[in-house]
Amino acid sequence: MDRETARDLLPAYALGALEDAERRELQELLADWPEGRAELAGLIATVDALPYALEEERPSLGLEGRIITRARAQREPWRRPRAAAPPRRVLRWLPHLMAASFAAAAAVLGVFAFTGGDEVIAGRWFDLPTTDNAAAYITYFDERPIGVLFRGLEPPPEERVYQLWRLRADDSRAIVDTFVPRPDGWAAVAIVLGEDEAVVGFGLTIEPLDDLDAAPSTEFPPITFPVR
Amino acid sequence: MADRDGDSHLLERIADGDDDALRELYRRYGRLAFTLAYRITRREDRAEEAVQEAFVRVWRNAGRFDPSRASFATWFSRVVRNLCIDMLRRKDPLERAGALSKIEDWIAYSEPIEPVIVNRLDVRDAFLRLPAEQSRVLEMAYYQGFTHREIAEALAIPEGTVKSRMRLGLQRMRRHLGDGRSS
Repeated sequence: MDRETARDLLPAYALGALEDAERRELQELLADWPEGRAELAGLIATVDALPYALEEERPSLGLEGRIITRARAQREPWRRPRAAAPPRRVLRWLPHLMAASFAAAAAVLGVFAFTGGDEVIAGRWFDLPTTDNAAAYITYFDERPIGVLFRGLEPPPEERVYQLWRLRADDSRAIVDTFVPRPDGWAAVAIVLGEDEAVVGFGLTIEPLDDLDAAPSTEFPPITFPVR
Repeated sequence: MADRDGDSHLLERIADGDDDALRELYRRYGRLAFTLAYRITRREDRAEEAVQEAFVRVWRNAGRFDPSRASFATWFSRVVRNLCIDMLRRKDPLERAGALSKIEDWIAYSEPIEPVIVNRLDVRDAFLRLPAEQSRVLEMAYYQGFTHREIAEALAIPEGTVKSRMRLGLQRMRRHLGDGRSS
């Protein structure tokens, strides 16, 4: 790439609109091209103003709380007094979980519902194929899940935590929360869904603390269970 | 300008695990982040997911922020934008490892940046005054995550035209913002 070509590409670079190969090639050239870097700096400074060109929107009131909760969840495991040694059993049961996903997990232990005016709160137990009494209880408000209560969860191995994911109808996934169960195996996770978000199930994984943003760990296959 | 009213101090506190500082940072930049994310994703849930993810990244990486390279608002806007563009490109939103270093790559060869005036009304005015063909390519690139080739294809115009419209649009905005008044 010559400098004339590179110069033509600087605006696209500043806008993040280059393909990866072009971007890398341009970066190499810029390393020895101070005039190009100076021109780029001006372009980037302008691009950086673009977020301010928008009409301001307001996030939901709950967003701040969800961010703080998630941040705390990432910190808590270090502060939590550790239980006994990392349970090897976790390593043993997890490989079985892949096979026991949606269908197998749908064993219902109980269902109840009550109605108050137009509002309906309901809950349902799903067996988890981990230990004998491990289960997840999904609470629904107006037929949408609002929380999951877990029981019988083993403590995660050292430097690892549980992560609950929501599985969407469009095959995408998103983190619901990261947590460590109480020493007695119970844990509660709140679920906040987008207005039109269609969730078909949940996934429970064990993730390394230092890589919570990555795709679900392959070391411990996920447990999945349906939303209903 | 690189340190708006103690952003660096807030980030130091966040690096020490002070969630009150994270809360304060959210109050400063949460709306800006959501506005940008919502414009890109066009969905409230996805926008909030991206904002949440961006703040959690700040929580985990506050110690790595270098205020000599860019203001926090600038750096953070890039994080939010990249997360949203990843979503738009239908990349698995959970494949996020390494995205932070990508952002660092993106600014790696820029000089320390003197930010343009970020008076919201001026910026909006500058953008709205652009000729439609210029604002269109800027919008497609920045808010919709298209590459210059994709834009050329979508608009059925030569790549060279896209590049020159990008340049002219950015130059015109910069002139406008540099003056602090409409040109």
